[in-house]
Amino acid sequence: MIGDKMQPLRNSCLRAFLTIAISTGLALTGLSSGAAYAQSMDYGALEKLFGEPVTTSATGSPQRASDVPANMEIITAADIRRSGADNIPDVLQFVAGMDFRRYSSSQAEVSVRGYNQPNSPRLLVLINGRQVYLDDYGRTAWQALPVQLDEIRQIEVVKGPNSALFGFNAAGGVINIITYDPLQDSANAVTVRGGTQGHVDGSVVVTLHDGDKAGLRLSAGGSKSSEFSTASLPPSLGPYNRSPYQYSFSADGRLKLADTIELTAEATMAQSQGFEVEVSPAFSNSTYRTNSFKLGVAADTRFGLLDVAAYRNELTFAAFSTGVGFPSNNSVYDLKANDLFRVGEDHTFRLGLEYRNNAASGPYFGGKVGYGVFAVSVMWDWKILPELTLTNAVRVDSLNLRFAGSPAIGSKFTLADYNSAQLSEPSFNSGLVYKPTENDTFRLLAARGLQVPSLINFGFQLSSNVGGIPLALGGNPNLKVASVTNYEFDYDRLVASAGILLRASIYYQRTGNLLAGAFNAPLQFGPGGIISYSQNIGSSHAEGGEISLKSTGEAGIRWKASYAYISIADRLTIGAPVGTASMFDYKHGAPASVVDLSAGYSWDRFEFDAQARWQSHFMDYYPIPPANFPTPFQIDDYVTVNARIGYRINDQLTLALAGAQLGQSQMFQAAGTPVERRVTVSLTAGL
Amino acid sequence: MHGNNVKTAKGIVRFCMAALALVWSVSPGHAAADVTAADVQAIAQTLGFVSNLPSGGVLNIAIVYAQDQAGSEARAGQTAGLLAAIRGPNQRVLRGTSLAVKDLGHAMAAFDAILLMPGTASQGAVINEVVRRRHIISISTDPACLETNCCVLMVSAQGRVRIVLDTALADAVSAKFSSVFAMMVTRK
Repeated sequence: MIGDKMQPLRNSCLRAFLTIAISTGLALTGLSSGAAYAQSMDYGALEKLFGEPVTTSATGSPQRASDVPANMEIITAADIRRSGADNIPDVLQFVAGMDFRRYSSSQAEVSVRGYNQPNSPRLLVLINGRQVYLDDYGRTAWQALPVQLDEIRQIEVVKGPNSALFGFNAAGGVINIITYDPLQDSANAVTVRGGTQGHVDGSVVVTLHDGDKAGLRLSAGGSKSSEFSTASLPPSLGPYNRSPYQYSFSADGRLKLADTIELTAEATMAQSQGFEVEVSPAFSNSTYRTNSFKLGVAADTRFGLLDVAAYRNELTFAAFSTGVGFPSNNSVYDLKANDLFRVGEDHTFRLGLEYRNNAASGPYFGGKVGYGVFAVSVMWDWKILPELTLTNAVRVDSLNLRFAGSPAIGSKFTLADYNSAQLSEPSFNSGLVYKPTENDTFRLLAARGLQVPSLINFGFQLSSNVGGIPLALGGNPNLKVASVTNYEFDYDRLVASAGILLRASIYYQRTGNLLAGAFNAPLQFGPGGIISYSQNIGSSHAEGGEISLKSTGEAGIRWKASYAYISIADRLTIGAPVGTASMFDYKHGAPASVVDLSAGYSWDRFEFDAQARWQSHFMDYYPIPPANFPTPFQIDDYVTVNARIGYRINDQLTLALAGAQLGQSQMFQAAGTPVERRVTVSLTAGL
Repeated sequence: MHGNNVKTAKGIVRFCMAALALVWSVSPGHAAADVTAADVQAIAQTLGFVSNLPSGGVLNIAIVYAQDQAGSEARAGQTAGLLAAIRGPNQRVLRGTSLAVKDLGHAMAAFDAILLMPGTASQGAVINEVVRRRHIISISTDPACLETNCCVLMVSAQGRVRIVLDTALADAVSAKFSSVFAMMVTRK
């Protein structure tokens, strides 16, 4: 029903976008600035020029990594290669301030500065600016991302909220995965890999060019392996999928319509299956199928850099837990337009509009639940002095909830409650960057980020009974957006003569309106039976900091050492339910201390690299049969060591031996399966 | 276990303090006055963002030196050698030719850009007049060129790469840059 209602709107949006894209392309020809070069970021040329990575993920404006008014780390393609990792979370785990949990061979959860949990909801993940974060449960299925490691130029990690640029769910941090540009770059590689746990994977990346007018990058890849041992899991909650696999395909094309106008088109698909731990927590065998389509136009005009883009994401998800299936579908339409321009010598502005339409359906949504979000944003970057820059960004998101279906029997909310629910929330990012010398950078940052309730938090509907007593588990249309306010001071010092970069940061962060789903909220007993519904459960605050030292040169020994500390205190407004769960216990849910060390050396045709991570203990939660109540499960301090030896056979072929968690044959890194030592051998042909 | 963590944390704090002391004890290096290989590399990369240069073929660059300074011609020749050793944007060949400031006025037609050697800023008025008249882009590694309005771009790669764009002179010589590049450089 809601689909029928939304169909005209979707068609209108698509028609509007196509009209805007084509007419923008035509109209922009007349507004051309006269510049004769493509206007997409030529990351490679700019990085070569400035001697450091460049990014747009801090403000939307192109910037050098060392200039951004945000705490950002950029992981380069060389970093990824040298890590020996065959998946993105394993690369991210060695970044200072990242919280990492591996629940199974296929599932890893990542967050920035604590607040991690199964289905980690506060980290917004994007590929080339397209959201791959899944709104249904509020999470990222890393194993179902349609991207191959060989096509990634860099992974940009923003620590702290950045909702003023990216909108909802950039609450704790942002990860923007930037792939090679099919117009500017020639990324061609074939990788095959095999190893312990029956692991086999392969990927192909091919870039096709038509002169300098058009480029198309195609990629495909897949993997399969045996799941880590499930012997420690309760047999009664099984059977557990022991054969995870994933495969994906992506096509990314750029076409120069004119010297200053570029058309972008992208299509992706991914499928994965494996054992994982869901948020409540619950063990499940899950299948993801995602599709996406994206179209965009970017132009350099006399009014600035204009960028109009639209995309559609589709998700078909099925989780089977203790024999019960939870199938659902989620589709997203997003249309956005931005204009980036300078006023005078010292002011850069970015104006943005975005419309987002989101809908999920399935038996446990009681029909179809969704929302439309309209957002307006402004960014102002003011170079007050050559060494002092102030950046302010503000965004307002207005959300209208929609529901077509039937609330759970016994639910305290009606259809009208859902269809009249509205939210309007501001977010901001402010950053003062002071560079008294070319080697010293001070950043004073303040931000407010937003975590919107997931669709399952808004619209879950389940009616059942316990021993003859009616039970209703329901979503809540009156949920408030969780807000994360972050204050931070950073200092970077580059000692060029010694080739050392010091980075230090301290922060205070407060999260208001913490969210808990219907499975986790306390049960309430009333005349109609038992009811539990999604709720805002209080607030939490965190203090912490990170310090790192790293070598900056490529020659000689490369190394990095970092330490991250965090202290979290929760102030819940409701009593935690029996056994509690990760979202009621952020205080104990993050390791207080994490140390990362890495070192590497290139010698002739060899590359030797090793990374180690020590983290203190933390508390996770584990479902215990027969009632599946979550039970505390302490993850003890642990050290994990990864290493890689690469040998360049010739200019095209590289052979590599890589190992993960070499120190122990198996250990728990989260309340899932124990993570096992893994060794792989890979052969990469790069052209 | 918590006691051990406290000890570990204290050890880490000591390590951090020692690391800070190490970092501060090393003084930054001093910039050299000559045009270095890194400068030339940065200049070559910068030319890739100038949108009204000829789109193909060899890029001819006049390396302009102050004829009244001892050794300046030799240093210009060395810079020409550095240019010849690298490739420009889109793998284009770079050809540098030494030229004295006094010869600028009647030799510009053959060049796509000029590279001003350190020391030429003192003759900024002459250079300014020529680049405006010939509509040619001028680049220098010497910040003094900005004071005498003779360089469209100041590019220095000694330490952190610095690029300053003289927008008034860029307009005067009709130099155009990709907008992304123009947003990432400092404007005078």
